Amino acid sequence: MNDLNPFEKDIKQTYRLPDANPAFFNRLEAKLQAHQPNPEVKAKPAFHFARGWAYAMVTLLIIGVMVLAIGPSKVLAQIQAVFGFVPDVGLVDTSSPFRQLAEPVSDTRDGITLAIQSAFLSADQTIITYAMSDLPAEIKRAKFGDPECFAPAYLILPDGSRVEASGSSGGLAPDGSFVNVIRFSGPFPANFNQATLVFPCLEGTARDKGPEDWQIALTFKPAPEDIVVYPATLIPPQARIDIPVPAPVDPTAQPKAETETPAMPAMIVDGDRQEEMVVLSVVEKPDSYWVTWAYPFKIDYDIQINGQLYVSPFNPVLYDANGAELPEPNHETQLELWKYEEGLRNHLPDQDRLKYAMTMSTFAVPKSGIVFPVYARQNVYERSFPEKEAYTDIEFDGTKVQTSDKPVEINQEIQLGSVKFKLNAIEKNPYGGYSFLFDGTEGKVVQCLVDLVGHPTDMGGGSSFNLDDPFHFYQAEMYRQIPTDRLTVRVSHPAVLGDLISFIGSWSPEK
Amino acid sequence: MDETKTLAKEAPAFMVNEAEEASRAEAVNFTELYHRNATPVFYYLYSRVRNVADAEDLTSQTFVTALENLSKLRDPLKFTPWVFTIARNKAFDFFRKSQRRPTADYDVELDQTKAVGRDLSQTDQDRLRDLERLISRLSPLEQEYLRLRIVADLPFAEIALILSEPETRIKKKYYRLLERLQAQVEK
Repeated sequence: MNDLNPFEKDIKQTYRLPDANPAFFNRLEAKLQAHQPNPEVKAKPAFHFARGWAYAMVTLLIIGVMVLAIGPSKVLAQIQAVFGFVPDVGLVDTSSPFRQLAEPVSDTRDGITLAIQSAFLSADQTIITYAMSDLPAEIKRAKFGDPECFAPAYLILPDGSRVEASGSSGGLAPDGSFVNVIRFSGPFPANFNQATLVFPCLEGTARDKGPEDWQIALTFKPAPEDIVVYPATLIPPQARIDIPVPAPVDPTAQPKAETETPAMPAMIVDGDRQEEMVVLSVVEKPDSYWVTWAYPFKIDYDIQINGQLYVSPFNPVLYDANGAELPEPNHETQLELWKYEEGLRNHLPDQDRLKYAMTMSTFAVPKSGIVFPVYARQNVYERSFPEKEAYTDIEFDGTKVQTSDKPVEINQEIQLGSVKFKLNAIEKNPYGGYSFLFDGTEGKVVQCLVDLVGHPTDMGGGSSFNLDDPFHFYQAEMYRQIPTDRLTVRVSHPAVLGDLISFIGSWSPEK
Repeated sequence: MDETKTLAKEAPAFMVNEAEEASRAEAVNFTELYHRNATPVFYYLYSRVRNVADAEDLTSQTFVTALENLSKLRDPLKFTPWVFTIARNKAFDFFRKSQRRPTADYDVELDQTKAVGRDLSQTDQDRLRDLERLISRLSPLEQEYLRLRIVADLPFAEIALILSEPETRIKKKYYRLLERLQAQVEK
């Protein structure tokens, strides 16, 4: 334990640390004990060591045989071919028979209905969809700062063992109910067809305001034989052979008929420079391929809010080899693609999840009527945070701002290190607070941090990015009780816009 | 809630490849490590999110992630910096997902029951409030030095591992920071 001097003890007091709750630590310990990995694996370290290498050797051998047998162009398509895409379920391991919920079940308490709509059990995961309906307004949405239920449901198996959720997601259904999907990683034991689904509280709703600790008995049965499964290929990082995207060529100067692979039309790259996107996965559907591309996610962790180093105000675009822009999918297909991406995130290897999960784009590529390869393009602006220490304080009359129907002019030049920009005006924010209107034209500034000194926000903040005029932006601070009178705004951490980068990825069924 | 939260690239020095996994895992008694680190991790996360429920939730997520990845820990003696690295990433994810501001939402109930130095004289209370304001104005990294050293009670060697900075540099920066704060608060 550190021997704190009196001043350090003063600092410690400012954090207002609460008493630790022993019940919480005991609960967590029990949860971790239930989560302990299989001891048999730990008991055989030497075998495990050898097994890792054995798997690697066998995999290399299989790939080698595949290369010889079917040619290198098809090898990638065969890797991880055990995956399939099941409509309305997502990406699943197809190596063992599927099971599903025998019949929907529901429970109603205090007028709130919790309905288990479906369950799908595959070799790699269990996916359960449930709906919460008739939620009173005070439970439906926790007020900002109020405790919210983050605890996902878990399963209790007939032998008493507990299976924790690996993730969940959800949203508001058109009828006003919340529909959530909860995922459990790993196989569900084949010898059990029953489980109890336990909800410590209703995830995403206000805590301690409605019935908690729901327990619902589930029964599973084999899924129908004729269930539709489309083959899916997840390209593992080690097999993601870089296939360089050709430099852009003007098709009028070099007719494509003279080249074996059509050259990428020049107009596709319209950024200051070109970088490469990778293909993460491909699903083959009857009339199309669903191809998922991604570019690396970059963030400056020193910036506490919105520290992304790429800003992407553009939609991704897909072209065929002739440079024809392919139409966007219809609304229903787009929803399916987003749902598919969500499932794909859970299947990405860890290093890919961190790097690509935030930047994925999935396109439905028609099987016919286009010329392959297709090119996906995502334009992004690069940005940087060159001044992380400097700040400036600007005083203003909060009462005047709050009583004025127009922005109150400030016209204060700001110089933070080498970065120049200007606070043009301050206006009252329609949600309760202040909006600070900046002109970042001179220093190419598109965002900064603002804090009202002595008045940390209790309702969050906001900012704008206008693609047509990125250097005129606002930063907002919102409050339950809006501070007024003489106020000081601290401006820091300017984000400076850099190059426009065209991330380009190519793909064809032959790759 | 999607589960995109994984160990960040900040932690590679602690990690091993699969081939080394199991023998390392043998040497680690997770329960003991949990007992040693749970409360400091909770306090550290509380100092980030300022809300007991969120801090408990993030503490839970931190240890579940640590348990799931325990076999990748290169040196069991470095469990503490490793688990704090996970906790930091959980806190970053929390703010990124919710777009909340790290120093924003003080728990109202807590404010009433845990008012800063409520047993102190008015002068001392004012001094502590000034200090609190000064701390809130520090750079994110400076605030992190204080949280890791004073709230999480970590030795400089472990802070150095977490922040990937030389221990001597962190010591210098930390003590200069204390001097600066003390001078400002006593002005």
